[in-house]
Amino acid sequence: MKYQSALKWLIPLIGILALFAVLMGLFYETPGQPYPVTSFRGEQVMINGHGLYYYDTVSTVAQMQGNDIITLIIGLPLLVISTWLAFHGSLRGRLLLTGTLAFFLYIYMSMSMLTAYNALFLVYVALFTMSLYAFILSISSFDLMDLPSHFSERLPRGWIACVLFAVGGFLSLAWFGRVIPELLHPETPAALENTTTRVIQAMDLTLIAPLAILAGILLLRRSAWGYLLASVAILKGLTMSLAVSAMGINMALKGVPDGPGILIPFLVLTAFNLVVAILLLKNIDVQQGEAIPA
Amino acid sequence: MKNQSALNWLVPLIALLALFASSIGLLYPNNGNSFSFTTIRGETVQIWGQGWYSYDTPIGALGFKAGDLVTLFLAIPILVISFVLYRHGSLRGGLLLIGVLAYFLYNYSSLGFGAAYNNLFLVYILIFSGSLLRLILALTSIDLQALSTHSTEKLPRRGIGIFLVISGIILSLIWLVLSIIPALLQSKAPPEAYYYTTFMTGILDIGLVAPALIMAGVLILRRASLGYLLASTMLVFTAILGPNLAVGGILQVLAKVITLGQAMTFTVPFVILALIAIWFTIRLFHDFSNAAPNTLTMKYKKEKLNERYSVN
Repeated sequence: MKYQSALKWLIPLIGILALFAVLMGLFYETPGQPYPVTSFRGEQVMINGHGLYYYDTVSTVAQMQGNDIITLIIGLPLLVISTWLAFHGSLRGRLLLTGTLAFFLYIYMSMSMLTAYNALFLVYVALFTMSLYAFILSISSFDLMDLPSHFSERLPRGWIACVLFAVGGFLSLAWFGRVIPELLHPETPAALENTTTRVIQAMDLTLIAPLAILAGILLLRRSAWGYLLASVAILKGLTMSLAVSAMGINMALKGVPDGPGILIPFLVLTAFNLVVAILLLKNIDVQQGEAIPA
Repeated sequence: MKNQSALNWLVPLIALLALFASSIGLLYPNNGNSFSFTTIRGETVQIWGQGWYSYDTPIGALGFKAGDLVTLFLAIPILVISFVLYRHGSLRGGLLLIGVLAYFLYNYSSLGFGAAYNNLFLVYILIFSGSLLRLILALTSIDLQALSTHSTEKLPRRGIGIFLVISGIILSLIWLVLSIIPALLQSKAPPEAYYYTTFMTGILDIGLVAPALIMAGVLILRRASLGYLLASTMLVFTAILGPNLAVGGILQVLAKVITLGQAMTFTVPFVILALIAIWFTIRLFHDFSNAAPNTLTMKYKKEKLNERYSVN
């Protein structure tokens, strides 16, 4: 099978740069202590004050390092395994690779836009761009006409769509629930910590929630795009939900809980996402002459 | 291919929301004064303190205002006209629509991800999301094969390709050489990130626009069919972004936020690039108009027929 040749050098580069960024985030240290400052909106925030993430808040650093850990122990190994499978012609591998690239795209889009500027800025931007192009190449390599026939009739489309709707619905509710009350009560300043704007909310509301809901609808309608987008969304969710859980747990460990109201639904969604990801992978049949190496 | 026309309502919605957001950005009363603020990095910066973009820096606020002016008086009219032409099956209308949607995507990523959070946040990200989705659908609605075969020998293909590649390189180098590399050598943040979380324009220009320019240039030089579509998109995009940067530069000089010298260094190169882009856009569109029966019409009519007689 002819597979996109640019992926051959894009993916190793993504892997190496991401490994570097993650190790720096976790292990690069400088002396210093967290200290409080007042943001220009008059909000009191704790600045981390040491390490690579010097100018981020203690709470953001807990999230970014949770992220770094999941990228290191799940994201990067998954990138290697799925690339190996994909280049050996496995459809499962190609779907998994597309989902994993979507995860890297999300992480490094948010790292470039949300991390307080640090020396790794260009590395984050490079990872963002390369994951974007690798993702586009990977997702456009599928033969849409042929794709639905590779899924078994027993694929639990309803359950998969339910999880996708739950993810889309939860993200919309959680983030609209944060923004709209502030619009209604302009006297309380927006809780933005020390950041310019709400990057995560913008990304989730414009990219992730619409993708999840659209994928669910198209899958229920048995559209070929539905099979592709749902697989990508669920397999991306696999890493993403683990990363979000790690962020939440890390925040709780560092004593900066974002409230169990956000953490518990994320953990529940993580569990559901894991289950349907396994069901999805099990129901891709391999009879079309596609050798999946054992 | 029904879904391409299914989301057509997104275009009028984008136009209305952008009309709303840009009018507020321009017309909101200019009460208040700029003030100094010491950032966590220990740098003293000015905050604009007036009008809609009061939590932005003077350069940022005036840049966003320039964006609003261009959106209101140039981009929205082009969006509406090209959409009407596209609905009538015009290829040039479709290509113009794609280019102007790329501009909306850029302008509203700047506002949604880069402007200091304000009450129009949800509107900005809605326009961003709508333009992205509509752009993807419009891009996939163009028949690539037909597009490349319809370009004639008179098309300055090499000129366009080289121009796009050089623009991409200049765009990256401007920010790298003037801002990011000096900051790295001094182990500090570039001035653009003294106050903002990070250097958003740098991300958008180095991460998204420059690679797209270079790729479009390389692909059209290689006569790849996708190259014609991407080249047209990036030319229209640059032609609309140029006035945006020019107006921004003028507003910033008039408000004495930057010196005339700085404007000459930063703004003039972009304006020259934009003027060349406008010239090439005219040549390209002229060439497509001479080309035989048009590419979009056939596909569009087929879609309409399918829609009408579809059993579902």
